[in-house]
Amino acid sequence: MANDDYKILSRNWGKPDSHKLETYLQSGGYEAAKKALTMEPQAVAQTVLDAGLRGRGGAGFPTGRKWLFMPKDDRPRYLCVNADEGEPGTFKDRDIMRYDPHMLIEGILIACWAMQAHTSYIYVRGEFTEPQRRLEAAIEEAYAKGILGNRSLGTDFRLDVHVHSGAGAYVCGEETALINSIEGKKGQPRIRPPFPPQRGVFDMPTTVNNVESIASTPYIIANGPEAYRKFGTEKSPGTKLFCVSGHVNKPQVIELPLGVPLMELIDKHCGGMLKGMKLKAVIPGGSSTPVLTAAECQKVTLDYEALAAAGSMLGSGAVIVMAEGTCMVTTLHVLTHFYAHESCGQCTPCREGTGWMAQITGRIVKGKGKIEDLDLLLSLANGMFGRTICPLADAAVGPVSSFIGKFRQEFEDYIRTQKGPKEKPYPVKWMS
Amino acid sequence: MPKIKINGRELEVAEGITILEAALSNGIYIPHFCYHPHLPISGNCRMCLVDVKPGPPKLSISCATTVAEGMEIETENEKVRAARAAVMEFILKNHPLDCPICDQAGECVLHEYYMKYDLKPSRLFSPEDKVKKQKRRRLGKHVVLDSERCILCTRCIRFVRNVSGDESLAMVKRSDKMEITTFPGKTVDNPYSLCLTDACPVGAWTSADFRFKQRVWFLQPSASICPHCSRGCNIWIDHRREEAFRIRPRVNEQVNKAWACDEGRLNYHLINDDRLTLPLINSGGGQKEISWKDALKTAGAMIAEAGENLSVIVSASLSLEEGKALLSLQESLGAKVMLNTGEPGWEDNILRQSDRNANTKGLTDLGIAESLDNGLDDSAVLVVFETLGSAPLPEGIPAPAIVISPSVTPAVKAAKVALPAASYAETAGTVVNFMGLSQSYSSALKPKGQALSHAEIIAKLSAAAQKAGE
Repeated sequence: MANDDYKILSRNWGKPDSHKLETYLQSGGYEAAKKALTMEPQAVAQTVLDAGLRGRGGAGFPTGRKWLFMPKDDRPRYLCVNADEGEPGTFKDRDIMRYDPHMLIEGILIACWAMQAHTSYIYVRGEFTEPQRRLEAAIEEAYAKGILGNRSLGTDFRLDVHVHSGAGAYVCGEETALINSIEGKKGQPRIRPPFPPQRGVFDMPTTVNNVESIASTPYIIANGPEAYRKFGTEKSPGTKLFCVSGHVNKPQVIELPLGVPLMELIDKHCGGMLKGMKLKAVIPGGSSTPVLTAAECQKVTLDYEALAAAGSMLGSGAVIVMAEGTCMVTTLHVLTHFYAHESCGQCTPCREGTGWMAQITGRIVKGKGKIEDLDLLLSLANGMFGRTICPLADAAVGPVSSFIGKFRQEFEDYIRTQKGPKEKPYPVKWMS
Repeated sequence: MPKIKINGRELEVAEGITILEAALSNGIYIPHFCYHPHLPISGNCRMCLVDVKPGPPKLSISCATTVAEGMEIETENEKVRAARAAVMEFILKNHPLDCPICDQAGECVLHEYYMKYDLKPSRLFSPEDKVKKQKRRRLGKHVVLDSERCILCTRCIRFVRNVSGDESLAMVKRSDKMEITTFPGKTVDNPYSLCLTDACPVGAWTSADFRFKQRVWFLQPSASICPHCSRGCNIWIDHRREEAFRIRPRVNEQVNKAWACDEGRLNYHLINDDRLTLPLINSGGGQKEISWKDALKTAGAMIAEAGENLSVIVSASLSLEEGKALLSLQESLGAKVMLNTGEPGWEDNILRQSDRNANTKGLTDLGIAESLDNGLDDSAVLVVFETLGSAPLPEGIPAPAIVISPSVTPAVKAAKVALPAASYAETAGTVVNFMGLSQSYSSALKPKGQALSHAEIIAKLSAAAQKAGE
């Protein structure tokens, strides 16, 4: 786009003291929330649904519809904001929380009004000390200014927002594990049904939304659904924060309208491939999404439908770019080791399967693999997919099936020729 | 009452139950580890996956899916079989090759399911790839935990939290390193800890008392009723060659569900140990073994001589049939029959009753209501009927003349004539528990040595007394 009026989420980043309430108010902050508080709660949810905002955490479920799932009984309701940001390659919610925490708080106010929830927990992963501090400071400013508390923005609506810290578990990004963790229990997912709108945190009606989804709502309420739909595609309206890492000249978090071609993201916005190297593969939406070969990358656009049609997913928007010279075998082992480490251990296929897959890839990397190991890995992946309490097992299967499926020759060559770990599995040393 | 189809078979089932419950109650077996009819649902083993139409493309766990009108469920198609074999392979990946030394062999669900649902060779690169965890930890007075064998079904955790009411067990760590354990330095010491060995589907939780004692396929199970408190838990006595090896609970929804207390279980030792097998007489120079004929002659003479001073003290665990026989003795001899209920013990709202006798209600209703509290003086001639583990005679009671008992108790040692009786494990009878429920047991073992049943002894004493009176 010629101008950058599509910078919805990141419009304040780069301003000095962008995280402070003053800065946020100067650019029209909390006007959307004021407007929302004059609307019917149901109408607020409908507006967000009409704008077509889809869950930005990875699942892509229409946010407005999720809000409308909340039951109408008189049990207290809760909004949990998922700031666990555990998906490898993802670092976008971090920037919202540390550069513009008030945009998130305004979104929380809008969401809670829509669902008539009076308490919100922002579940931030334990490693995010800076975002937690910024959020807590912003919340304090909001309470002091009467934006939060018993009379939010001068109305009868009471809203309390708490920051709850995680403690190092990827699985706590799963909504029911997150809920258990807030309750002080072991971060293990629950079987569903019942779903969180029926029995969530403290067994009360709960909605869990991603940070970016919530932070997108002030713009929608202030400017209306049509304004949001001006950006993006018909089925994937709006903008998305893409976190680009790997072998590009300018790795960064960048907001772009959905539907931007992947190669445009890499070449135009991220300075092109690092040191002019050739592209080998891209993981488009976080390590759980199937990898795309360089050929597949040429035509694909970054939106929910196009990536699904290409056999992958938009996911969290974490774009991991790999150049020629990247050893896919070593990279797969890094990923299987991650999932094996993070499995909560509750259900049989994931607990034993992730561990077993990491053992096999570990052996292959060390040069002790057998050709049969590749089919064994695919068979184990089949045994895990769709059979577990939560999709962590499905996420672990994503890289295994796609790496072996699309780079089989490289795996076979590695097994046949390598006697030990590769000396240079990546074309550049980290941080060089 | 929703109508559903399982494997093409039409069934009308109760509203609100799960597919697994509907299947099991209609004789359709769906394999499962973590489901237990008396524990809350967990849904983590993933063995009970079935294909539900209409439904999601993924398989659903039958233990947690409620039946709905028109549901069509397949439990044996390709998809389901593949899922089961996969779960089996995943469990067996890290399961240690302990079968030759594991107590669970012969009653191990993993063994049965492997034969029925798997039968595939291992694809593990080397046994060294199996995750090592802590083995044979004595985590309580009676229980041993082997974490490598554990399949993390969490039945034990749900048991301690929902049945025995404590938080002594928890899962720690993540992924395939996850283990079930107690808090550091603590043990599982509730009165129902041995129920963990029943709840555990594999040999992770084993009984320290039973460990390595006997292979279960040599054991003969006999149904019985525990006599050690007034609940009358239904039990199995597992025995071989006239020796009892363990007691396990028998399911009874009304009385004890699937549970039994540790004390009751371990009282199987009373069946084996210190049994009185021959009649004894003490005519001044210590106790000597004598024949039944001579013992009965002496006892009969003592009873006939006692006349009005005759007092009969009976354990409140005698059966109704034995009680009836006693009442006729009371009539024919004119003796006072008193119940020795002993001191009340502790009770809880799980199983234990403070009344430590099996048939207080039954015997009282029969008419043997008089309690032992009324003082007895030195002129009383006491005939004491004891049962296995029954209450001892209280202090201040004169030395008994005749004691009929299954075990060598202090009363037996103090008696002039001691007659060996069969225990509840060697006779048949009926007892009434504290709920008023009448329960029957039949013999598991043969009487030991020359012991006879209480009923026979009562008849013979009655005859001997009559003869002596002539």
